Amino acid sequence: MPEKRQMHLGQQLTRAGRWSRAGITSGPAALWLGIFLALPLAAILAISFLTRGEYGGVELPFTFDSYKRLAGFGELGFDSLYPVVLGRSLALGMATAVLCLAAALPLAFFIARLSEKYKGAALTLVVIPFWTNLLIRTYAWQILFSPNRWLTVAAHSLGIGTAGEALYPGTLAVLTGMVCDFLPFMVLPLYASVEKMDWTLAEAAADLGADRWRVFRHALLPQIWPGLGAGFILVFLPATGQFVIPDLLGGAKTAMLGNVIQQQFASSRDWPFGSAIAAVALLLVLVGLAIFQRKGSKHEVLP
Amino acid sequence: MKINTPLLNRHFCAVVFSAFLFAGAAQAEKSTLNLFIWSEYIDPQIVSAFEKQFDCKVNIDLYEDVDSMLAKIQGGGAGLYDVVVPSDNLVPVMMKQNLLAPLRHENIPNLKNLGEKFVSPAYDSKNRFTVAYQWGTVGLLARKTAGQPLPDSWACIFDPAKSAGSFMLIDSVRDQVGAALKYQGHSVNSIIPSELKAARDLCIAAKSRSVGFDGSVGVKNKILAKTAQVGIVYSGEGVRAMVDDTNTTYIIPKEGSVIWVDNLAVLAKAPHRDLAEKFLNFILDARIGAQLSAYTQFATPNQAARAFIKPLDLENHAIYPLPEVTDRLEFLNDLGFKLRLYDEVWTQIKTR
Repeated sequence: MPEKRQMHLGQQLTRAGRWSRAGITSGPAALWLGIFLALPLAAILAISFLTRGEYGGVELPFTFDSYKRLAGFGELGFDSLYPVVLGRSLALGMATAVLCLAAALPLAFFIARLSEKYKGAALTLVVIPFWTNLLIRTYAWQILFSPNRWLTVAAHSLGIGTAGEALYPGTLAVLTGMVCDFLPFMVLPLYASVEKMDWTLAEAAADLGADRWRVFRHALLPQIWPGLGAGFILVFLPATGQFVIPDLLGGAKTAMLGNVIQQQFASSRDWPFGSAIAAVALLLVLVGLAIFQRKGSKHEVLP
Repeated sequence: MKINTPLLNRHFCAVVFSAFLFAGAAQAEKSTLNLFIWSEYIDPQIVSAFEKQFDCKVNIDLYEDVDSMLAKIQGGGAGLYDVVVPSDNLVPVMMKQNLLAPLRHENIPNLKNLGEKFVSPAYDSKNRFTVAYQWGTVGLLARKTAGQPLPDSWACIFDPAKSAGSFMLIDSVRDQVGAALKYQGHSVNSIIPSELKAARDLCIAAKSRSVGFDGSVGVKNKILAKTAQVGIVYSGEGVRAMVDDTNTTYIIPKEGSVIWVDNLAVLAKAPHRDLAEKFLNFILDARIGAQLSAYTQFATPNQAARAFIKPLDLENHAIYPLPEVTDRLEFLNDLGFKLRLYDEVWTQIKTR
């Protein structure tokens, strides 16, 4: 007969007790992640090593064919097009993240220094675009960028684009659409950091003779680094996989990573190859994040 | 009072339970048909007429391209739908994967209404799995310009010297690459690398001069909005554009083009197979067939329906091309493993 035990917080637990406590507290989350994250990821990895069936679907045997194709050894001879697509998508994600950062940094400082009365309203304004669907917002840009619309005419008068022609499809249109879509993801985490900022550090730096740049660099930047990092990741990752905006505002002329993956699961019916592209893209992003995190941890400020 | 509580509870349970029973009964009484179909491809009035006649509910899910439909069916959606609408080249693919249920012809007496060409087609002998729904072609939608002849060749896309103004390409691999293959006098089902490389280079050069790629509906809208002068579309969009703007016209290029037939099929795991066959029979009705084509502006495979179609539509060569034009049209075949060639060509076109 097991003896009746009473447990107190902080009490030394047996190994079994520790496990059961861990199971209760983090079990549901672990289970969730296991079923909806780890398992599908493992499936993608497994499928990427399988063979495409003649009519689609996946079959044995295991092969490296998909990865060979991805490296450029295709049906029509060697062609480095997939690395090009991958690089282009990463560049689009990076450009979007950098532009968002440039736009969000002053905005976050501005909102954080507003009086309490206006802060809520300002944050609501940042979030309001989310109330409409992404597709509607993107189509709206198509209309604004059409020939003879006021925005197009205004841009022409500034020397952007050719008079009488639409501003889309083009890189400018794609970047505009991307920045507008992802800006809130950068503003909100940045604002959270700026809001908590300890301004006395800036004053101290200034008192000690730092110029404005050095105040920002050594007293402010380390404080907003966590928000900046979170915002950068929140923008960079989905922007890299984004293909609706490049299609609609870029005229579907250039393939992005998302397009190529989607193509494998739709018209080409090649799940192994689609999975291989997704797996490699994921790997690259994870490596990038690891590097980013290492760099980030150096930017610590003394309390 | 204490004694009453369990009694009350039991009462309450009974009420709740019977409510569930009734709900279940009501659901069983009114059967449902789950239809997975292209967007804007069925007249809503036909759907409500079917619901009324068979006292059922029709749930419609939409797709924008058949490949996404197949991907969803393969990816675990096989039991979600009763009726799907595969194109001719997808029928063998679905058949080989045992995704389709054989049709019980005794439940579909209206099969006799099908036109001669659509009885026992090459992709489905004896109509074992499918019945034709609508058919059409791929061609050019062009805006008429005063003093300029209308383009009659794919050259207006692929030859800069014969340009007929700004143009749009179609965002569909087989249709776009097929147009380039036809322009060079090859089959739309070519698997010869040199032919495909030449078609790819034509498409890449055309891309840089074009306004961009879009689906058939998107191309039509951009020509109506005057963003482009010419574009590649399906015949239904071509004819609809001609109705909306009489300054536009639909042309099948002289080099030939793609012809396709969309088909109704019942899924092997269809939850409501009987109702699905009733639906197929309903669509094959002569009057319903005429109503359907009046809505889609595509051609009907239903011979009996022709009696109820407006003569103006029947005489419209954009919908029903002349026999000498039909001779130059080609069906797309499923290419099995060789589809990879097209995948690669398409990625190259989109990457360069």
